[in-house]
Amino acid sequence: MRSINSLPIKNLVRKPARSLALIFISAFLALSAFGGTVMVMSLSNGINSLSARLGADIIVTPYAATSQVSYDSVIIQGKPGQFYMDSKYYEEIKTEIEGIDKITAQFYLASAKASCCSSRLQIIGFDPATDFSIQPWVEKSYSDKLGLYDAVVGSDVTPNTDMTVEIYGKTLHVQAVLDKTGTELDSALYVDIDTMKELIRAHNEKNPNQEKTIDPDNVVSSVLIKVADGYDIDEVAGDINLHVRQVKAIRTQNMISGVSESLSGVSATISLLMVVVWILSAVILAIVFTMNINERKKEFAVLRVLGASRVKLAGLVFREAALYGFLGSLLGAGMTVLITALFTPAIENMIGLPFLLPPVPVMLIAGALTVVLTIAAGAVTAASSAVKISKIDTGLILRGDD
Amino acid sequence: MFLSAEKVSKKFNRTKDGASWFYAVRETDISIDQGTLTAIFGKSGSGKTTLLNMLGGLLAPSEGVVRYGENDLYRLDDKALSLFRNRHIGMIPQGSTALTNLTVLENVLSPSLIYGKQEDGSISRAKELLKTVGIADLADAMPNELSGGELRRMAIARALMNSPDIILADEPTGDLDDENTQTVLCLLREQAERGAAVLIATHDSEARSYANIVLRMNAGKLEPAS
Repeated sequence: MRSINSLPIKNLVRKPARSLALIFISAFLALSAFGGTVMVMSLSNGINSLSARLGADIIVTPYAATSQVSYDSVIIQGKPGQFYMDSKYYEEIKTEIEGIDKITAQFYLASAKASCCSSRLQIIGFDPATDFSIQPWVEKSYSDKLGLYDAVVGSDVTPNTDMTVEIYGKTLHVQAVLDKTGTELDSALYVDIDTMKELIRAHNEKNPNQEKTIDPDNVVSSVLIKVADGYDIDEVAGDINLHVRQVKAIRTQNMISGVSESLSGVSATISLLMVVVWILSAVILAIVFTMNINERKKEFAVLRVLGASRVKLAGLVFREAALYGFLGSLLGAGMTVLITALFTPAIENMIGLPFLLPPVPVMLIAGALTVVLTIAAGAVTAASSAVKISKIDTGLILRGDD
Repeated sequence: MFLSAEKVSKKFNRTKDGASWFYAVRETDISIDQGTLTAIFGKSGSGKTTLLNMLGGLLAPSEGVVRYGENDLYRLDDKALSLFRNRHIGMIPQGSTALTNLTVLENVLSPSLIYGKQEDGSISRAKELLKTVGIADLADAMPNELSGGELRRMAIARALMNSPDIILADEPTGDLDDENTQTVLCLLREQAERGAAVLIATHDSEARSYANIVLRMNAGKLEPAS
C-alpha cells in the first residue's frame, strides 16, 4: 500500500461479497440510465430516419386502401402488404394539380416466402426517372442505374452466396445492401419499374386464381409528391382530394404523427421507468452503503486515533463510494451494450416501432455521461455517511466498557 | 512538563436532552514527562480511558485544559490536532483495533501513510517493529488470523511506527499471557528510556514494577497510588 488513499481499493478487494453487492447496485443504476437513454434515442433516431427516407410532403393512395388498418405501416414502415389504383389517377394528379415540384409513383408487392428469407418479403418498385424518395437513400449504397432483374435489398435480407434472390421463379441480382433503418424496410427489396412489372406478371402466373389480376402496365400503389416552394402542403393535398376521385392524399407529417405519438408514449414510459428505477437504485445504494459504513465505525475510529482528520475520513468514504460507482457504471454500461446488441431485433418486434441505435460516438458520449452520473450518484448517496463518519466521537466508540 | 492536563473534567449526558448526566473524570491534574513511564491503575469505569482519550486529543474535556508544552491542544483546529496526533502520539486503544482489510504489515505501516506516501525505509522499519514485538512471521497475515495477544502486539508496533514522543496505552496487557505481558511492558519501558513520555492505563499489577510514577483513578479523580 503506497498511501492511505489506497485503503478503499483494499476494502474493495478484500471484502469481495460486500463489494460485488455495491457494484451490482451501481451497475443497475447505470443500466437504467444508459439503457433508458439508448432506448429513447434509438426510437427517436428511427422516426427521424423514417421521415428523412420518405422525403415526400404528400402521399396519395387508393381510397379503398385507407380503410385497411395498416396501409400507413405498408408505406412508412415497409410492412408486407399491397394495394393498387389505376395509373390514370397518377397522370391526372400530374397534369391537373398545381403546386407540385416533384411527383413519382411506387409499387408494392408482398411476396410469398422468397429463397433468401424465412418470411414474406415486401417488394418496392420505383421509377428511377422520377423518384426522389428511394433513390437518394439507395444511392448511399449503390450509385449506378438498376437494370432489369437488378435489386438492392434492406440490411436484414441475406442474398444467396452468388448475390441472387429467387422470387416467383425469377432470379434477381442483388447489387447492394442498404443501411439499416430500424423498420421492416430493412426486410424489403427494391427494384425499378420494369423489373417490378415482370415480377407482377410472374406473381399473376403463380396465382392464377387470385380474386383480381393485377395489370402491371396500368396500376400504381402510391404517388409521392414534393410540393413546390410557395405552395401550402395542406392546400395541395386538399386540391387532390377535391379534384381526383378514388384516391386519398395525406400529408406525410400526419401519417408519421401516428407513429410519432406511439413513439412519444413509449419514450415517456421508458423515461418514467428510468427515473423510478434510478431513484429506487439510488435509495438502495444509499441504504446498503450506510449500513456498510456503520458496520465499520470502529475502523474509522482507529483511523482517527492514527491521526486522520475528519476531512480525510470523509474523503476516504467518498473515494470508496466513487470507486464502487465507477466499477458499477462500467458494468452497467457494458450490460447495456450487450443487451442492446443481443435484443435489438426482439425489441423492434416487441414495440412495433422503428428502432435505430445511435452512432458509436454518441453512444460513447452517453456512456461517459452515465459513468459520471453514476459516480456522482454514489458520491451523493455516500454524503450522509461521510458527514456522519467525519463527526464520529472516537473517544466514545473506543471507550469500551470503561 | 511535557503533556499535561489541568483541572480536566468530562461530563457525559445519560439522556439526549441533557437532563441526566454524570462525570467520567472530575477536576483532574496530570503531567507526563519525557523519559518516564506513568501507570494509572483503577477499576473499570473509573475514568482511565476517558482521561487517556482527552490526553490523546480525541475527546475534548468539558472543563480544563490539555497542554503539549505550552500549547492548548483543543484550541487547534481538527486538521492541526489530527496531524499532531499522527506525528506525536502513539496510541494503543483497548481491544482489537485492527484495520481488518489490511495485512499486519500494512496495519503497522498505516500511520506513516496518512499524511504521506510510502517511503523507502518505511517497510523495513515496520518489519523491524514486528520483529521487536515478536510477530515478524505474521507480516502478511490478515488480522482475523491473529490471536488477541498478537493483535495487541500489532497495535503496539503500529503505535510506534512514527516514533512518537508520547505513548498512551489503554490496557496494553489485557488478553495477554504472562510471557507476552512481560514482553509488552519491557517494550513500553524501552520507549520511555528512549525518551518518550509513556502513560499506561491498566489493571495489571505487573506494570507497577516498570513504572516511574504510579497513580490511581478512583471515581473520576486521580490520586497517588498507595
